[in-house]
Parts: sequence; structure tokens; C-alpha cells
Amino acid sequence: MFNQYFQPNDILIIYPELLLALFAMGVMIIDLFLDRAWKVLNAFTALVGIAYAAYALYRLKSNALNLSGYNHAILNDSFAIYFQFVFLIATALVILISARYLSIEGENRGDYYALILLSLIGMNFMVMGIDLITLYIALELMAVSEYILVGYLRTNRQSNEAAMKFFLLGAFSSGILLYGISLLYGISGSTDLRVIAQRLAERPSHDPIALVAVVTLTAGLLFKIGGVPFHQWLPDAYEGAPSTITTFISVAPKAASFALILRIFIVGLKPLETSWVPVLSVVCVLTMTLGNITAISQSNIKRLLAYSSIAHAGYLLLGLIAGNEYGITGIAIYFLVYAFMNIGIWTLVVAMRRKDLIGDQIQDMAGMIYKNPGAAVLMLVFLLSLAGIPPTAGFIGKYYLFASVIQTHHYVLAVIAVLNAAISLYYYFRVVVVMFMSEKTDEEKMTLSPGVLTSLAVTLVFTLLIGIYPEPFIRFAQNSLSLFQ
Amino acid sequence: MMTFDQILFYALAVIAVLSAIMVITRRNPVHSALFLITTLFCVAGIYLQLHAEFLAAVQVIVYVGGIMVLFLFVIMLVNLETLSQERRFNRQWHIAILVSVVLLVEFGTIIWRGKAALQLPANQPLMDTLTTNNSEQLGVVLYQQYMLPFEIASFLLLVAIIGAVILAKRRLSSDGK
Amino acid sequence: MIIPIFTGPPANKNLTPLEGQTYSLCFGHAWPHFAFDSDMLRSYLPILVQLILVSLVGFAIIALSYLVGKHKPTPEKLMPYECGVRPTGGAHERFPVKFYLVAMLFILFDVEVVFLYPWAVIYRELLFFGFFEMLTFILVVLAGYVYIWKKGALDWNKN
Repeated sequence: MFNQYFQPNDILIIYPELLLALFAMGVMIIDLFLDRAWKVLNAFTALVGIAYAAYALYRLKSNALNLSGYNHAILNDSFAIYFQFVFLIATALVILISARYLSIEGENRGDYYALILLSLIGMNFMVMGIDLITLYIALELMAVSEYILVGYLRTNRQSNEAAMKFFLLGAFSSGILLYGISLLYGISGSTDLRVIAQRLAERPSHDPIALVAVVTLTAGLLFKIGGVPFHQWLPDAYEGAPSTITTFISVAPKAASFALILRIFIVGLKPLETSWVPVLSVVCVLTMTLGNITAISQSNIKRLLAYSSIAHAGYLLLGLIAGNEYGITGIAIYFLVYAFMNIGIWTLVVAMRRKDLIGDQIQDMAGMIYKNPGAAVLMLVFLLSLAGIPPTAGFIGKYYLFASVIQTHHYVLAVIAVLNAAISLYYYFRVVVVMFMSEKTDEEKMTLSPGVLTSLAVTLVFTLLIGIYPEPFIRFAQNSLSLFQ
Repeated sequence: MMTFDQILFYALAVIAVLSAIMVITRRNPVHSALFLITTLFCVAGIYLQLHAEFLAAVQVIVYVGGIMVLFLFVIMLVNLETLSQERRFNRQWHIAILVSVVLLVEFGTIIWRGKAALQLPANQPLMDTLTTNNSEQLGVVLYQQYMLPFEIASFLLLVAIIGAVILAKRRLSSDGK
Repeated sequence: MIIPIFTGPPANKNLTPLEGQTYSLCFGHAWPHFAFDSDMLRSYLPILVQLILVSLVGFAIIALSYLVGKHKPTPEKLMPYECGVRPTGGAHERFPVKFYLVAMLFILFDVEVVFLYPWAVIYRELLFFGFFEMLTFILVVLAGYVYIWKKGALDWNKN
């Protein structure tokens, strides 16, 4: 059954994804035969699948590095492997906190985990793909799963509305992205990013059609990471979605979309650098500033974190604008850090959810230090990390990103970024003030499930560890530099 | 002097755009759906002119056949009386039209000026699309060169199936209450 | 200018080009030689003629009966016909959501079947490779089918 289009190596490369696919379908089917009391088994199955996939990925790192497969549709370089590890970590942490939240919402079913695993497959192919068609299909696999997950709470109108907005705008942005892809194919006659780069280099640098292709591609891709002015969906989707899904989409799909942007811009559109760097610089400044300024006036913790997540997308764009080794390492390490600190803080938001309390207002945290001193201190650590204050991990990420733009002499950008980081301190500390200085409004303590506890422990340890002893993690993140080869 | 091809193209394009405008301006959603069918048919005709026979057939079978049925079911699902009372456009439609027209003109000029870039390179095998069967070529490309995207598409279908059930089950359970 | 949607590897078959042939339709004389980009499009000409004729005939029937027939409308005649019974309620009855689910699932499996068609055309070239390729595809969608079935989405009377 093997021929020139399909080699045994091809199966080897996608082995982690094959395992994930089997477990996704498995968890979907097994759930149909499970009693209500045994539904927690679904989360367990999904975790086993992720563990297997992580092991397979670890083996791939030594066995099949830099192997391209399926007629150069995917490339298994260390950039892809690094990001896949980030996705697996983020997804595992999200699954840990999901089981209890879902049973409180009365929606504990297996298809939830199946959708998460399927979108994980999409993300993995997004970072491996070097062919525009593969990249697009993978992006859609991730996005469609997300739309459904955002609207997963059947009886919650807010969740339904969020899913609707997210879906309509997402479908529209995919259309724009596809238009850009078709123009790129039109001028290069190929869907392979490396061939496209070659053909673009042969053309005059101010080619009008190439400009339209870059603009539409940028618009479509910026939507996925919530860059201004394509950010409107993000606060609504983050607020309306089940909190566990917000945790998920604020980390893993964002990292995947960013990896996709890096792959397309650094590999495919490198010859047009002079036309996309100015556009992205403007977007970067707008994204940071608008995200941070709007976050100041939020009273809902989910919305506050959503705007903070927009601002973080702005910081991450700095790395791409710099486009040098420091910038790419910065983006890579930032997403590892972001996975831990953001999931940590969202886990606490998830844990606030009780039968009688939605727990998404900042006021709900009043006097948290008296009721749940442990949770309040954890929250403080994660907020410090998000603000980028040493010795937490957030500092390392910001340091690399800001340093990269200074290296490439984008001093204005660097100054604006630092000013923005200062603004963000204000609203992060507003939450701290409410937690530590306000009177408590009720006596009820937070109850933490084993999954939530594990997730909190892992995120706390890594948020501090990366901050205090960053060397091994930076070396790990430097894997992503294979992008330049 | 226009060739017959060009006349055909402009006829199809004009009908497609006009009926697309009718789709969004009709008050009765069933009329909108019928105009959408016309648009989809014209687009199928344009696919045919681009030598994408298979795509044209799929357009008619899936869009005109399947998706339109879905649209009509959804239209019948919602309450038509209240729907036709509601405003069809929000307050921003003036600005939206302005922005769209500006964007259209801008893209139009840029593409017009750079249209030479869209000529295919000389080494592209163009002629065989004119002489061999389009489905056959599509098959050769899809099932060999692009076999991975094809397999990923099956997962996309799976996700869509799960989504359809989750979406409809929500309605089913809330209808029951 | 022609932009092919898909360009494949060079064709291995040498089909005789249809250059210069004219098509004679049922009228018995040669069809005028239109300037088509290719002969492929010319083979679709009968369909175009058919479409135009059909719409003309449809239009003519309505127009003629309007012009020639006598109009004596009465309230009874203008009433919607429901087997002679006086209609009650509006014509726009709301459909149950079940129809939507069936239509949705129909489209999904319709799309699946669309993939089978070009596959079947070149099956001789693909052989076992193609067989396993399509088997994987169908097994994944089949898992979805089991899911639908067990969820009771195909059960009309449930809920």
C-alpha cells in the first residue's frame, strides 16, 4: 500500500496525532455506554491519551527530527515539537480542572473531551504544516471545535450568544484568510510555503497583488489571536464560554495561531518583510494600548482577563516584528510561561464557581485572604507573573520580547510596551486590593477538587521555577529557532 | 468585441450579485432563500467557466440541494411573523456600506493594477486541465499529493457531526420543558 | 485568462482535442461557432440552451394564461386550497427542530459522499493505497455515525 506519495515514515511523524485521534473517538464512544456516576472516567481517558501522545512526541524528538511527510505537507522540526509540548501541557491542565466544573454545570459528557482532543489534533497540524491547504484545514479543525465548545452549556443563554458571535466572526475571518491564501497561490502557483517564499523573492518587492495577499492574510490571522481591530469577539467569547473552555482557548489555540503566524510570516512571507512589519507595528501598539486601557474599567474578572489577554497578544507581536532569534525565543518561552500563569489564574476563577455563585465578579473575591488565604496568595503570584514582575516567570517572557525589539532598534515600540506594562500593573493590583483589603462578604470557603489542586500545584511550581531558574526552559524554547532553517 | 465566454461570464456575475443583494434586502426570508439559490447557481456557472466541472457539480448538489433545504428548515423553525417585524439592518449600515465600497474600490484598483502577476508561470501544466477529466485530476491531486488534508477533513466532519447533535439536542431538551 | 482551480501532474492520456468541431443540435443545422476558451465549455452549450428554453417556456405558460384566460376572482377562489375545507390558522406553521437535525446530518454525510466520487474515478490508479485511505476516512465518519445513533438523534419519537 505504500507508494511515492505515502511512505512508512509518514505514519511515524503523525503518530502522536493518531493516538490523540484514537483517544478522541474512544472517549466519545465510551461515554455513550457509561453511567452518570462514571462520567469522571472520560477525563481520565482523555488524560491517558495526552500522556501517550506526549510520550510518542518525546520519542519523535529523537527519531524523526526534521523529517517532512505527506509530500511536504508537514515538517516535523523542533519548532513544531516544542509548540506541541506546550499544547499538550495546556490541554492536560485544562482537562484536570474540567471534570468538576462540568458536573456543577450538569453537562458532564464525553463529547466535551473528544472536542478538546480533536482541536488539539488541529493545533498540532497547524504547527507542523508547511503547506497552506494543510494549515487551513487544521486551523478550521481547531476553530470549529472551539465554536462548539464555547457554546457547550446548553441552557446558558450567554454561552450560546458567545458561541454565535464567535462563530459568525470566525467564519468571516476564515473567508478573508482563504482569500489571501488563494491570492498567494495565484501568484506563486504553489501551496508550499517554501516555494512561495522563493517565488515572492523573484518578484518586485512592491507587487500590488502580493500586498493584497499580505493584508488579507494578516487580517484573517490577527482575528485568531484577537489583535486590534479584530478583537471584538474576544471579551464576549471569553466571558460567555464555560470558564474551563476560556482557560483552554486563551492559551492553546492562541499559541497555535501564533505559531501559524510565525510559520507563514517568517517562512513564507519573509521576502515581503518591508510591507508587513509596519502594518504589524501599528497593530501591535493598538493591541497593547487598547487591551490595557479597556481592562482598567472592567468589573468582571473574566472580562478583565480577556482584555489582559488582548494586551498580551500585543506584547507577543513584538517578537514577530523583531523577527530575530531573540524575538522567536521570546514568543516561544512566553507561551510556555503563559500556559502556566494564565491557566493558574483561570483555574482559580473556575474554582470560584459554586452551585449558587457564578463567581466571575471582582467583588466576589472581596476578603479572599481571610476566607481562602492559600488561594489569595496563589492569585497574587499569578497576577504578579502576568504583570511581569520578577522573580515570577512572566518577567522572563517580557524580558525576551522587549529586548528583541531593542536589538532591532524599534525603540519607540519598546517604550510603548514598557508604558503598557506599567498600566497593566494598575488593574492587576486592583484585584489584589479587593482580595487583601476588602471585608469579606460571606463565610463560604472554596472547595477544591483533586484535579483543581493538581493543576494549581503544577502551575504555581512552574510559574516560580521558570522565574527563578530559567536556563533549562530557555534552552527548551530555543528549539523553536529551527523555524529559521 | 466580447467573446461569447465574456458575455456569459458577465451575465452570470451580474445575476449573482443582483440576487445576492436581493437576499439581504427581502423582508420575507423564504424569498431570500430563493434568491440565494439563484446566486449559488450562477456561481456554479462561473466555476464551470473556470474549468472546475466537479466543483460546479458539487456546488449544485451540496449547496443548492442540501444547504438550501437546511436554510428552509431553519426558516420554518423560527417564528416568521415576529421575524418579519424586526429590523433587518442595524444602525451602522450606512457606515458599513461606505467602508465596503471604499474597500471594494481599493482592492479593485490594486488587483487591476497588479493583474499581470496572476498569469501562471510558463512551467505550470495548464493544458491538461483543458483536455482531461476534471474529476480525475482532482482525484489525482486530492488523494495523492494532498492526502493528509483529506484525512484531516474527516475529523472536521466528525467535529461537525458532534456539533450538530449538541446544538440540536439543546433545542430538543428545551422544547420538551 | 484562465485560473485553474486545481492543476495536477501532466496527463498520461492523449485525448484527441475537439478543436474545430461544431455541434449540431436538434435543429438539424450546424450550431454557430462561439468563441469559447476551450472545447470543454462548448460541450456544456446544450445545457445552457436547455436552461434558456426551460425558463422561456415557464415564463410563456404563466404569461399566456394571464393574457388569454378570463379573470373572475371571488373570495372563495382566492382562498388557499385545503381539500375543500376552510383553512384555519396561518400557513407558516413552525417546524419541530428534528427536521433541522436531519437536514444537518444529511449535509454532513452528503459532503462525505462527495469525496467518494473523484476517488472512485481514479480508483484503478490508487488500488490498495486508495482503499485504505478511504477506509480511514470512512471509519472516522463512522465513529460519528455511532455517536449519532447512540445519542438517539435518529430516533424520531424520542424527546
